Amino acid sequence: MADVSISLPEELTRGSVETACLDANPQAMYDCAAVRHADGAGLAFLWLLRGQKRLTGTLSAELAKSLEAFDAAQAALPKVTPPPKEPPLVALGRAECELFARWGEAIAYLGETLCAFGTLFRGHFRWGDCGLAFFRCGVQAVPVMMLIGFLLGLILAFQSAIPLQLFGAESFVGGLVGIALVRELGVLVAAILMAGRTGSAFAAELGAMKVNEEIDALETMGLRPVRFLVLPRVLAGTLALPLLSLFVTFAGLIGGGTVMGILGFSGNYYLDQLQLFVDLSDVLGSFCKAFAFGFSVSAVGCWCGLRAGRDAGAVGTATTAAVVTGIVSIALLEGLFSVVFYAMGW
Amino acid sequence: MARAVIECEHVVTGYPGNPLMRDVSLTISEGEVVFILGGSGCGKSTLLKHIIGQLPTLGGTIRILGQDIATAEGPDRDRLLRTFGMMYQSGALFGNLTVLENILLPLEEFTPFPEPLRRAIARLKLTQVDLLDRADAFPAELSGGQVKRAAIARAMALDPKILFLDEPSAGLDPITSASLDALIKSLSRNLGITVVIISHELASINAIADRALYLDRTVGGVLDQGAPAELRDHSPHPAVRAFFNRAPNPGDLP
Repeated sequence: MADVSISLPEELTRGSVETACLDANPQAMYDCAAVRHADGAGLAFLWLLRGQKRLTGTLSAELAKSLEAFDAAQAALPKVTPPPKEPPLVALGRAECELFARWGEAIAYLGETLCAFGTLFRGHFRWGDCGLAFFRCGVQAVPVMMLIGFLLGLILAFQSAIPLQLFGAESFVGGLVGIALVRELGVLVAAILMAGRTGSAFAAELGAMKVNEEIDALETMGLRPVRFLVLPRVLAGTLALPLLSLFVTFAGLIGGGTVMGILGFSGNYYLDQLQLFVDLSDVLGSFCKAFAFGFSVSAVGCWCGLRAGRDAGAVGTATTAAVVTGIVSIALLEGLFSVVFYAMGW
Repeated sequence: MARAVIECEHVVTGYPGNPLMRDVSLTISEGEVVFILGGSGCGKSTLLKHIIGQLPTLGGTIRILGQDIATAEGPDRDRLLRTFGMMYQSGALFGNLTVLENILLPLEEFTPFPEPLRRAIARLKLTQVDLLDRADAFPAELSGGQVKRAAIARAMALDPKILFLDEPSAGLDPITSASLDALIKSLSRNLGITVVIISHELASINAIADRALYLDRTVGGVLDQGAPAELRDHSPHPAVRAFFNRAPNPGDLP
C-alpha cells in the first residue's frame, strides 16, 4: 500500500483537506508539486505530512517560506520544564499553612464586619442600599417562607399524629408541633432557605462586581468594601431573618392547626396546648438564634463574593461556596446554641 | 471586478421600537479591507449584528456570498455562519479554556480532522497572530493586545472568507495597535480574506483601509464612502472631512 500516491490540488483549502483526510489510508504519499495556494488548514496539513515524511514533490517557494516560519516559531518557544514534585510532607505543610491563612483572613473579615456595625450611625451609611437588600432578602421571601412553613407544620403534625394515635396521645400533636417549630424548626428552615436564596445572591452580586473590577475601583477610591457593600447587606440579612422565621413559625402553626382540626380538635384546644407547651423563653431563644443565623448567612455570602476569582466560572464557585458554607455555619451555630441553652436551663 | 461578498440593500437597522438607520445600502467586495465609521452611538455595531445574523433587521435584505442570512435556515445557515469569523470588542474568549483550546473548539465541532491536524491548525493560527508562546495561557492571564490577537486567531480558525472585527484596536497602545494593523493587512493580502472593521482609530484607517464607509444618523445611512485620503480631502460632506481631520464641524461648536 505504500506506493499509493495522491496528488494534492492547486488550491489546498479546508474542503480539499477534508476530502484528502477522509480518503486517506495511513501509508499514502502526497504529491504537493501542483499546490500553489493553501489556507490555514491546507498549510497545517502540509506541515503535518512533511513531518511524517509523506510529502513528495517540491513545495512552491511561498509555501515553503510559510512552513519555515511556522517551524521557526515552534523552535523559538522556550523549553518548559515542569516544576519538581513536592514531597508529600511539604505539600501537606503548605496546605495547612494555606488553610490557616484562610482562617486568619476570615477572622479579620469577621472582625472588620463587626467593627463596621459600630460606624453605623457615624458618617454616611447607605441606608438606601440596606433597604433594597432588606426588600430583596426579606419582603420578597415572605411568600416562599410562608408556603414552606405551612407545609412543614402540616407534614410534622400528620407524621407525628400517626404514631401518637397508637398510644391514644394524638391530643399532644399541637404541643409537639408548637415546641418543634418555635424552638428549632421555624428558625432553622428560614435560615436554610435564606442561605439558598440570599447567601447565594450576595455571593453572585459581589462576585460579579469583583470580575468587573468594581471592587478594585472602590478600594482605589479609598472606600472599604466591607463598610460600603457588606455592611448594608449583612444588616439587612440580620434584621430580615428573625422576621422571616416568625412568618415560617406562624405558617407552620397554622399548618399544624389544620391537621388538629382534621383530627377533630377545636381551635381553642389547640391554642391551649400551645400556651401550655411553648413559653416566652422559647420565643426569645429562637429570636437570638435568628439574629445569629441571619448575620452568619449574609456575612458568609458576602465573604464568598469578595473572595471570588476573576473569571466567569468564579461567580458560580463563589455561589456554591456561599450556600454550602452558609448551611454549615448554621449547623455549627445551632450546636453552639443548644449547648449554651442547655447550660442556661432554657 | 472582484465579486461582492456582502450586499446590504435598503436595510433598516435598529431594535424593534428603536430604529437607528432607515436606509443602509452598501457592497463589500472580495479581499477588501473596509472600515465602517460614524459617530458614537450611530449604530455601527448594530449594523454588524444585522450583517452576521445576530439581530434581525427591521427591513431590507442582507446577502453574504449571495445568500440571504435572514432567510437561511438549518444546515444552510450553519454553513453560511462558518464562512465568516467575528471578533468581539471584548475578545469574548472562553475563560475556562486555554488560548489553544479556544481555537481548537470550532475545529473540534465543525471539522472531521484528526487530532494532530486540528492541533497543527490551531498552532499555525497562533503563529500567524504571533501568540504561539501563550498557547497554554488562560485568557485572564493575557494582556489586552494578546486577548485581541487570540480572538482574531479564534475567528480565523475555520479559514473564513470574511473577518468582522469590532473595535480591534480600542484600548491598545499605538505600537500594539500598529502591529495588529499589520497583522490584519497581511491576513487580507496573503489569505485573500475580506475584512470588515468597526473602528475610530484614524491611524489604523489611514494605514490599512482600502475603503471607508461613513454612517450618519441624520441621513439614516451611508453618508459617504471611498479611500481614506479621498474622503479626508475631497468629501463633499463637512462631517466626513471633520472626522478625518479630527476637527468638529464649525456649526457644532458651542
